[in-house]
Parts: sequence; structure tokens; C-alpha cells
Amino acid sequence: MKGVVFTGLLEMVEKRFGYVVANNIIIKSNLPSEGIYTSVGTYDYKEMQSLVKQLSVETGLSGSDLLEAFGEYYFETLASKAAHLFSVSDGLFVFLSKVESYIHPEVLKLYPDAQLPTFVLEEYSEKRVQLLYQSKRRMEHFAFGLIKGAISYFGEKAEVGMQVKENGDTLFIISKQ
Amino acid sequence: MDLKQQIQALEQILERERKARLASEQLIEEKASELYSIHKEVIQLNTKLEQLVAERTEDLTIKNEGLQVATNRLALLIQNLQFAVLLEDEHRKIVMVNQRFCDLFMIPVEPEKLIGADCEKAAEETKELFLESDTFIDKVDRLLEDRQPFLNEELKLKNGKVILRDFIPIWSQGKYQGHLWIYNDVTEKRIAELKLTEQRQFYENILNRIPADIAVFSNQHRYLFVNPLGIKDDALREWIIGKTDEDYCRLRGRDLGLAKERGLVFQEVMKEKKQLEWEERIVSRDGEVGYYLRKFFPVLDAKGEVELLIGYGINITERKKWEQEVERSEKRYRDLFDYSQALICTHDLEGVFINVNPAISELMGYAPNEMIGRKIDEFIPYDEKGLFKTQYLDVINEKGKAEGVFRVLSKEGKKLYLLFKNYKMEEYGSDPYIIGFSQDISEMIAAEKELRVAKKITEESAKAKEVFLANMSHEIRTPMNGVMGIAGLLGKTSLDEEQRNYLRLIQESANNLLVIINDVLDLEKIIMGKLQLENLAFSLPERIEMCVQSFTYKAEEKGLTLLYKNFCKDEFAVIGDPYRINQVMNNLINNAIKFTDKGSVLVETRLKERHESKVFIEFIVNDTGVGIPDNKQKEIFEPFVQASSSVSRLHGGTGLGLSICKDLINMMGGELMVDSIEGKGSTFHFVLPFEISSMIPNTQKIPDHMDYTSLGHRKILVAEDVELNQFLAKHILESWGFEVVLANNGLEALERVKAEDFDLILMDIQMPEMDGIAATEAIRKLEDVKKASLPIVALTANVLKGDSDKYLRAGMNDYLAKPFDESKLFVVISKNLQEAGVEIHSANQTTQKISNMETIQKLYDLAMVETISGGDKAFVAKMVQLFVDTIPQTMHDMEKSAAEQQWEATGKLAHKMKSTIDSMGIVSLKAEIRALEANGKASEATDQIPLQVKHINDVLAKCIEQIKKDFGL
Repeated sequence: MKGVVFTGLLEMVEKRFGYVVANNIIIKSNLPSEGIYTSVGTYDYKEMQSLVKQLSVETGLSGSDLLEAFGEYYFETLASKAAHLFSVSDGLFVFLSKVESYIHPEVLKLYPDAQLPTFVLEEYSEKRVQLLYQSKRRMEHFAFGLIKGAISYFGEKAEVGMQVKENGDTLFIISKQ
Repeated sequence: MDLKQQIQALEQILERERKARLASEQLIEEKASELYSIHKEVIQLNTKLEQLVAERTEDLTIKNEGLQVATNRLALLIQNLQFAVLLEDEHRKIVMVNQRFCDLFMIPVEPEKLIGADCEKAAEETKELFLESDTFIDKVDRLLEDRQPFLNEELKLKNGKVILRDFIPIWSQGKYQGHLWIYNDVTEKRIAELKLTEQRQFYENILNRIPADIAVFSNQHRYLFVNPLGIKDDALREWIIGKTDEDYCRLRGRDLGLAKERGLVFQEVMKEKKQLEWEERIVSRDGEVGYYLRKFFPVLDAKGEVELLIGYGINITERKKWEQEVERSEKRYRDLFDYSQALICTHDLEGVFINVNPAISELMGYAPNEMIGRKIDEFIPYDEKGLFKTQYLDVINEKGKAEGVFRVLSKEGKKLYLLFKNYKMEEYGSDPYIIGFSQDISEMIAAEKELRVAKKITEESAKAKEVFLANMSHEIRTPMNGVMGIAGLLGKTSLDEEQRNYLRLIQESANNLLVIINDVLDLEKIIMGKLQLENLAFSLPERIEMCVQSFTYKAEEKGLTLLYKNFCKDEFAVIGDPYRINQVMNNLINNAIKFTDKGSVLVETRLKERHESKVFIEFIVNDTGVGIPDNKQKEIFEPFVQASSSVSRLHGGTGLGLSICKDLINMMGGELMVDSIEGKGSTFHFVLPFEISSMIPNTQKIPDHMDYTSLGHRKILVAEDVELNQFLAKHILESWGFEVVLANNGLEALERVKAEDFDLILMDIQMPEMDGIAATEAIRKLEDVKKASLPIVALTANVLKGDSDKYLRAGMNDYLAKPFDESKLFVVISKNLQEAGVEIHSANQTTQKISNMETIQKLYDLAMVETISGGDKAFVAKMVQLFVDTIPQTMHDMEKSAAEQQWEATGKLAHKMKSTIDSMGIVSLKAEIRALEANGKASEATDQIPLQVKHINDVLAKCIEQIKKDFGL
């Protein structure tokens, strides 16, 4: 996992829960990287799991809620970092449909060793988009948060629902009224 | 949260951030040195590349020139190829393409401009040109994937074109370089092939369907082709190709003779190079014989050598059978023609013999070749040649048939009569001709001629016999009249018993002689068909009564009872011949009395049937006499036959009586029958039909006792040339108290009438100077009406003719046959005097009387008109109408010309009227109109003419009246 995600998470923890909590979860998680992250570095994703787990202990909030909140938060970071990839005029649905076909390939150009999940566009209509999320790392709640962040980023009225399937794939249903 | 804790946390975070920065800086340094070494490498590579490019460029420039030439050549070649060519590189970019390709796919761009174009898109764009556009792209993709050559793939364009496509992948040193597409437009070739196939099928169909065996042979006589009719079995038909007839015969186990025969013909055709035709007789395995007409046609090559032989065969078995049948039937007809006894010939429309059969040549005495080719009229007698064309040739040409009799001359000059019936034969495809059938009737004609002569002789002799009999009749009756008359007179003188007995014998003998004469004459008349029956109204019971009465004396003499019983209760008069009935009854009663010695003779009349206008009366004469043996009962009606030869000895007679009775009864419509038991008696009976008359007839009953003085004093003229008869008549009449004046002939009688007044004339018919008829006619024409209407009674011995009409027509009032007896003479005279007396005193009643008479007897007779009409009633009606319409004018003209004393004109009118009177059968005017004509013409007896005209006109007026009434005009 790229270092930028870790720096994003710690930035959010610092802002929301304070330096102490951020410092605590790093220390308590006993991380191989000792919590020294550079955004271009690459780190084991299990460290992310440890950090979220420790944060849950620290805050008393569930891991999934935390990941969701992180996703929502992180979208803004992504949007500001890779502004050339985001065009507000596209609108939410067009953006969502382009994640797999355009944004991920572009990300790979910048970070050839990046490990990205797959977002399969299952449905695309005026009122609804369905995306099937597939990843070994099971970061669906993070993805959920990201989608929520996108909705608020584009300023559109839409709802998102998720269905976790037996095989671990997660279907996101984004619908407008 | 305590500050210390916060500071510690911040210090820890800071520491981590510093470490992270150091890690980042290290990363950057690493990357920078990496970049440096890469940069160096790139510069080195660049230099090398530039060197290489320079070398290559030099190399290429050199090679390019040669390559350019080759490329141009190749391009030219490709551009000029008959195929459309497209070369693509491995990325499906066009490397080369030719004009033909652009034309084929209708690409409106120069081929050079297409180089480098992407074919993937082009395929998508052009797929619509193809029939199977859906699969087009797939197929191309598959080819590209397989990268295997694929040749002659047929593609069909929507515009109808057919294209063969080759796909050729290009490999170079194990590397795929691209591929070549070659398109060959075979549309026209395909069309041509299709046409060729169709044509071939067309001819094959014809060959297969021709109802003939067809085979094609090589010039080695090996089969090249056989049509299915030639060999039906498909396998066999295939087998025979390349084989010979011998092979075939061996295979089928057939006789090789047929193959050899064909081989000979084949050789002949090969040699002569001309078609040959022959007939084959093939006996099938089941023994059926078939006939085939075979032909070999040589097919010559350019050098005139036989290349192929076409064999042709049709089954002519049926035709052959017909031919044989026709031959057989022709032979039959030929035999008929040759052996027929009928004369048969054919000739053309000009009458020239085409053929004659042996019967004709034998009859004519000419050999057939002496007749064939010659005209028929050369055999016809010179004087009849002219008729041959007009009456035979023209007729048969027009009507198609002719019949009649040819008169021809045989070689010996014998005239032959041929009865012929000839027909014109017109058959499609041959000239019309005449077929003639005739029969030699020369002998029949000769026989007919003989027969005609014989008939004439017979007729003449019959005529002579008739004349002889008439004369005999007259010659015998005249002296008999004398004998009987004198005997009668003798009886009035005083005689002793012995003398009276002699007298009775004389009278009896005379009477018998008279009966015999009458019988002979009657029989003759019947045989000659001259006997005519009267049609008079009379009372039958009265007639029979009278007849029976006359036998009273005879019966009493023999002591027999003679009775007449009439069972006809109805009162009616019948129409018939009372004289003949009288004769028959006289004969039967006479016989009955003659053959009965004791007992009775019973005469009966019975009504059998009565219809509206017809009655059937049965007459019965029954006696108790000797009877007739069974075996004689039929014979007794034959002339000159009597029941036994002893009969004639005992009873006399000619044996003609019953025969005459039978014939007379037959003539009257009945049949005389006899029932008899020998020794017990006989019953003769017959039934006759009669018309019922509406008239009540005048009965002329001979009074039992006649008072000869009852007529008072009368003056009678007797015209009679025989002195004896003069004497007889004079004595009889004078004994009645009459005054008698004698005349020796007609002329004298006429003179006497003119000179004196008489009450009545007795007129003999046959007299010298002027006969009774002429004299009567002359008297009727006298100016003095009283004299002209004197009653005249004919006395005649000419009973043979039996034609009282003749006398009545001449103007006589009545007649009496000689010899007559006193009583009959008295009855006739008294009747006529009475009628005349009425006439004299009342002219009106006379007219009435005459018209009454005439209604009974018609004044005209249409028999002649009816004969001419041939049964056409319209014709008769027209003639009658014509008569009624035209005759009054002629009558008027004649009256006028007579009044103006234009005698000649009157004569001409009479002449004109004569034929009309004859044809209308107005017999009473026949003589008078001729007399008038003669008088007028010669202007003789002109004083008579007005009277004659008046009389003729009167009769004609009545005649017209009658006709109008009869025909409802």
C-alpha cells in the first residue's frame, strides 16, 4: 500500500482525534515501519489494518465506520492531489464509470507498483450506477467512504447502498432520485 | 490531557517525520544517480543509432534504384493483372492494390491513394456489397487468424457478380509479413458455364426423351452414348460405354448374328460416308417379334473422315403389324375385285379407266390392258356417246355419285346393258377418282322386252276375248229374246194340254240357257275385274221377300215349305247393290230347292251389328236336302266344280253358281260359308256390311197380279233392227192396248220422233245407220222441249259392260236387259210413263226431282284430279277452287257468243271448257261439250247450239253448287 494512504489516515486521525491518539495508535500497533511513512513509499497493507484496529480500540468506534469515515475524508485529499484527473463538469456518474477505465490506468502510470482494486461497471443509466468492487484486501468500507466523498465532492443528491456478496465482492448501488 | 504527554507525542511524531524526510531524500538521491547513468547510456545509444541510420540510408539509396525498377514492374504487372489484387501488411494496412480491385468493389479512388489505408475499416465498409454480408467479416477474421492459404473461395455479390477469392498469407523467415488477397471475377464465366450446362441439359433432355433409341458410336463401332430408351437399365447403360454390340450380345446371351449384321451396315456407312437405313427383326426371349427401323448417320470431321456415328432406332412393330394388316386387307379387296362376279372398275374424273376387274374384261371381251387408259365413252354406242359427259361425268363430279344404266358395246359388238352405281372417292393425298359397280342386266332387259311383248299379246287376246264375249252375249241374247218372247206369246193362244207342256219345256230350257249364259258372263267379268257394284239405296227385307216370292211356285211344285224370316226389326234402308244381292240369293235359294226333295227351305236375315252409319246383316239359306260331304265343302266354291259328278247329271247347271256367289259376296265385303251334314241338309250363310241410307228408297214391288191395261192407251216408238224383236215388242205392247210405231234404226227413230208425238221410246242400242245412243242424244237436242224430253228406255243385250251410266249419260231414262219378260217390261214402262207424266205437268217438281237425283249421284268425279295430285289435298282444293272461280266467266262468255250467233267463238269456248269438264269428271257433259265444239267449229246445226249451251250451263251451274256445298266454299 502506497505511503500516501498511511499519511492520509494519520492526517485525519491527527485532525479528528489529536496527535496523542495518532501517536498512540502508531506506538501501540507496533508497526514494522515504526510509523515512518513517506507518501511515495510502499508499505504492507497489514499495517493499515493494525492502525485502524488500534484506532477502534482508542476511539471505541467500529473499524468499518472508521474506514468509511477515512474514505470520505480521503476523497478530498485525492481530489486535490490529482486535480487533473477530476473534472467537476463530468458529474458523479461519469466519474464513477471512469474509475476503472481511466483513473486507475492513469494512477498506474504514476505508481507502476500500485496495487489497485477493480471497480466493474455493472450498470450505468441516468438514474443508477452499479459498481462491483473486487479486492483481496477487503477495503470495501474504505471504498464506501470514498463513494460518499465523491457524492459530496460533485455536490449531487445521490444515495449509495452496498451489498457484500458471499465471495467477498461488494456491489455498490448509487442512485439518484 | 496533560501537556507532557502531548509534548512527548509531538516529539515522537517529529522524530518520525525527520526520519521520513531522510528516507525521502535518500530515495531522491538514488533516483538522481539512476537518472544520470541512464542519461549517459542514452547518449551512447543515440550516437550508435545515428551511425547506423547513415549507413543504412546510403545502402538503401543504392538498393532503391534497382528496387524501384522492380517495384514499378511489379506494380505494372499487378495493375495489369486480370485479377483484383490487394496486399496487406501484418497490421492490415494496404501495401498494394490494383485498379481492378477498385473497379470490382466500386471504390472511386485511385489505387495509389489507398496505400496505407486500414483494411479493418474497409472490410466493415464493403461487407454490404456481399450477399452473405453478415458472415463476411467473420470469415475474413478466421482467415486472418488461421493464416493458412485458402484458395478459390466463391463469393457472391449483391449485384449478381460471382467472385473467386484467394487468401495467401506471406511469411518471411518465420515471421508473418502480411497477406495477399486475389479476387477473380468469374461472373461471365459462371454465366457462360450455366448456359452451357443448361444447353447440355436441354440437349440431353431431348436425347433422353426422343421416342427413339439413340446411340453414338466411335468410328471403331464402340458405344459412346446411349439414351435411356435405347437401354433402360441405368447400370447397363453405363456399362456399355466403350463396348461393342458383340459385347452386349454376349452379356445378354443373344445371337451374335444381329451384331454382325449391324457391323456390316456400320462398315458400309464408314465406307460410303452416307446414312443408311435398315429394318431389324428382333425376337425377344419370350418369343415376341419386334421390328425396328434403324439408321446410321456418319458425323464427319473437318477432313471429311468419319468421326462419329449416330445410331437411331424406332420401334415399328405396331406400324409393321398395321402394314401387314393393310397388306392382308388389300389382298382381300384385291381378291374381291379379281374374283367378284360384280363388274368393278375405277376411272378418273375424265372417264379414263384406271382399273377394271376380270369380270368386266371377261364380259366385254377385252383384255384389261385394252381397257385401262382408254375412255369409257369409247365403249359406248356411237349415238349415245354425247350423253356420257352430260348425264354421267358431270353428275358424278357434282353429286359424288351416279346410278343408272350404261349401254356398252362388247368387243364382238354385242350391246350390253349395265346397271351401275358409281361413287366419287376423294381421299386426302390422292387425286379423286370414281369407283364403279355394275351388273350386267342385258338378259333381264331382253327378258323384260319379251315380257312386254307377251303382255301385249295377252292384253290383246284378253281384249279380243272380251269383245268376243260381248258379241256372244249380244248375239245369243237377241235370238233368246225372240225365243222366249214368242214362247210367251204362244202361251197366250189357246193350246191343248200336250202343247202347253211342250211350251213349258221350251220356256224352261230357254231360261236355263239364259242362266248359263249369265253365269259365264258374270264369271268372266269377275275374273277380268270388270264387275262394278251399284251403290243404291234399297230396302233389304223387301228385296229378299221379292226374291223368295219368285220361288213360291217352284217350291210348291216340289212340295217343299219355303219360308222367309226377317229378324231385322229396325226399319232402315241400306246402300248396296240390290241386283247382285238378288243374284246371290236367287242362286242359293234355287240350289236349296234343287237339292231338297222333301222338307223345307228357310231363308233368314239377321242384324248382326249396328253402328252409327253401318250395319252388318247375316243372310242364311237353310235346307233339309242332300247335304254336302265334308271333303267337298271347300271345293264347291271352286268354279266348274260340283259336289259330285252325278249332281250335274241329275240337276244340271254349270257349276259356276256358287263360285260366282262367293266372289260377289267377297266383293261386297263378306264371305260365303257352308255348314252341312250329308243327307241332313245344308246351311249357306254370310254377313255383309252396308252403309245405312238416309233416304227411304222407292220400292219397285212387282205386283203379284199385273194389270197390263192399267196404263191406258199409249203411243210407243220401238227402235229395233231385228225383225223378230220388233214383232215381239209390238205384240206385247199391243196386247196391253198400246199403239206401236216401229223404226229400223236410230235415224229412222229420230225422224219418227220429229214427225209424230210419242209417250215413250224403247230404243235398242246396237242398230245400223245410227245407234241408240246417238239417236237419244239427237232427240235430247231437239228444239221441241216436249219431244227432247221424251222418256227413252234402252233395250240392250250388252250386259257385259254392265255400264248403265253409258245409257243414262246419253240421256236415256232407264234400261232393260234383253231378253226381257212381259212383266219387267211393264214395270219399267209404267214407271217411266208416270215420271214423265209428272214432268210434263209440273216443271218445278221436275227440277226438284232432278236435283234430288243429283244429290245421290254426284255430277262430278275428282278421281282424275286426285290421281294427278298424288295425294296432295291442297292441289285438289286448288283445282276445285280454280274451277269454281273461272268456269262462270266461260259460261257467261259462251252464252253471250251463242246469243250473238258467234258460232266459231262458241266452239272455241266449248273447246276450252272441254278439258276442264274432263278433268273435273263431269261425265254427263263429256259428249255434249264435244258436240257443241264440233257444231261451233263447223257452224253446223247452229239451231241446236243455244240449246246445247243452255243445257251445258245448267248442268255446270248445278255442278258448281254441288262442289261449293261439298267443299264448304
